[in-house]
Amino acid sequence: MLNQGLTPRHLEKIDMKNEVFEINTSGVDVETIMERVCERVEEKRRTGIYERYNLSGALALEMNNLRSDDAYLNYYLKTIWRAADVDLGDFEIYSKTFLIGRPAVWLKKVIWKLLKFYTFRLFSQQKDYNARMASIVQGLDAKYERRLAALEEKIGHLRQD
Amino acid sequence: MRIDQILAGFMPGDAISNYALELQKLFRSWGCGSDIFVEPSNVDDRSRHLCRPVSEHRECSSKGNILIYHFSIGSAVTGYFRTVPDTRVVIYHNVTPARYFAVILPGTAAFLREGREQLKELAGVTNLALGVSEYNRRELEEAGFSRTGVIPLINDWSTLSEKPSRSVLLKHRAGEGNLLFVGRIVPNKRFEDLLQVFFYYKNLLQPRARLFLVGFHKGSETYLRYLRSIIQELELKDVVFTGHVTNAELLAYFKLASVYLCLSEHEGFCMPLMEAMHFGIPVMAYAAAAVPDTLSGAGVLIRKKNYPEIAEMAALLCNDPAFRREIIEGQYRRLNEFKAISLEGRLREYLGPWLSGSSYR
Repeated sequence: MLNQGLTPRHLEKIDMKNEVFEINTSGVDVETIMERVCERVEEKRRTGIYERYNLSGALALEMNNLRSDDAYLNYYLKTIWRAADVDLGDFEIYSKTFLIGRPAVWLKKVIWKLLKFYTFRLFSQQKDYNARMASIVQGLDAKYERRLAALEEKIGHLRQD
Repeated sequence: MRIDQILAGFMPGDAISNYALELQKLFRSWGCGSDIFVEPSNVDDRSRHLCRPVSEHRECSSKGNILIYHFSIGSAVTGYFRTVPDTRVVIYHNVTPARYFAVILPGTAAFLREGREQLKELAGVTNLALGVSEYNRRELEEAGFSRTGVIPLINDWSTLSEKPSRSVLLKHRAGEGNLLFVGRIVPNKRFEDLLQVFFYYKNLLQPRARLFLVGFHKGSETYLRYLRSIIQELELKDVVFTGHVTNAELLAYFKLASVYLCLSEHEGFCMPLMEAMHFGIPVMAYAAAAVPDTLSGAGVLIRKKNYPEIAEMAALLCNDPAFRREIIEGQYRRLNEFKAISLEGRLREYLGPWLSGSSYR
């Protein structure tokens, strides 16, 4: 995932001993545990891992930001293409089972080839339809946005007159 | 003498419904008549034989009886409860703040807001109000109830010794260092936070881990769609939404879990924390509402939602046997304390003044 330049709340450097966890179990060396957690996080921060793996996409979807129906509509409009653009391409076929792994992979590949042969035409038509619908919805939204902006401008001028 | 109970709704597997059934057994064992009365429109078909319509309560209502109202949401039965001549007792399971539901379930949000209002109204007409946690009791006091107390939730621990589902165990046997959360898919449980912790945990620490989210989502489809969009956005794999599960399936998920992680922001008690302790699973839970009281010093309490740190702590609990053992032992101590509290003893103490004329004595 690409870094989109955010340093969000959950990545802020803070004093963990006091703020993140509380452990009251007797027998646990709390200080050492906290230090180990801190060190590991710090090491990853230093090496820039958190910049490669960041949550900016998810944070853009923060529920707290979606407080109205309009916010939801905007979000769906922004993400409609991801849902419409169904991936019909090949993918890696593998098995997690060691013993029957190879025959299972062979069988899965055969099934996928057959499925693809019989359904590709249907799915590609559906994908084409999805793409057109997504374009229409986004186009209509943009068109009405423009018309509303023009109307508001006109009302503004009329008020001034 | 009768000790009846009324509820806003009744559903199989629902914590409050189960609690009412356990109390009914207890009251009947005291020699008291005891039925459960529910608003008929909110009764699941499978449960109709377990309860009666609230309109039938009038027939058995009298000054010498006790009526217990399990309160957790705004309901029409509140109006009825206020008018009965019986001794009026409220058992408060807490009302989730409406703000969590305002956007995606506005109907539920309205009932929750109404619930907060009705709670204040009940303060003036209730003889006794009991919370299922100290946190709930404090809220009762704040709402204006003068006579308050805490009674423990009860759990049928015997159901946790049944055989776990073999098919679930087999299906997920490849997972390692799995995280578990049990609870309805509703916004106050903050599933989005769990997904974000799992993002770091899976990608950086435990690549074979699975996140099991066990709970039904009927009525929360919008929220579930939102969660799925986060999963898509983060390209997260191995997140399992189980939907409604049988007891055997639930037990299998407990067996498969390495850490129980709760980031919920509102819990009236949170029995799954105790169930995780029962299974010897280290618990990490966000310190919100009743959770600190429920953990009571056991497990790992999360004070601030810093996702990378939470993921590291979960990994440490999986990979450091000594730390894991200490935490689990601490949890067993807490669980034993909880099990030792006698519900019957507490109820005897609280209801004593009104039970004096009954055969119970």
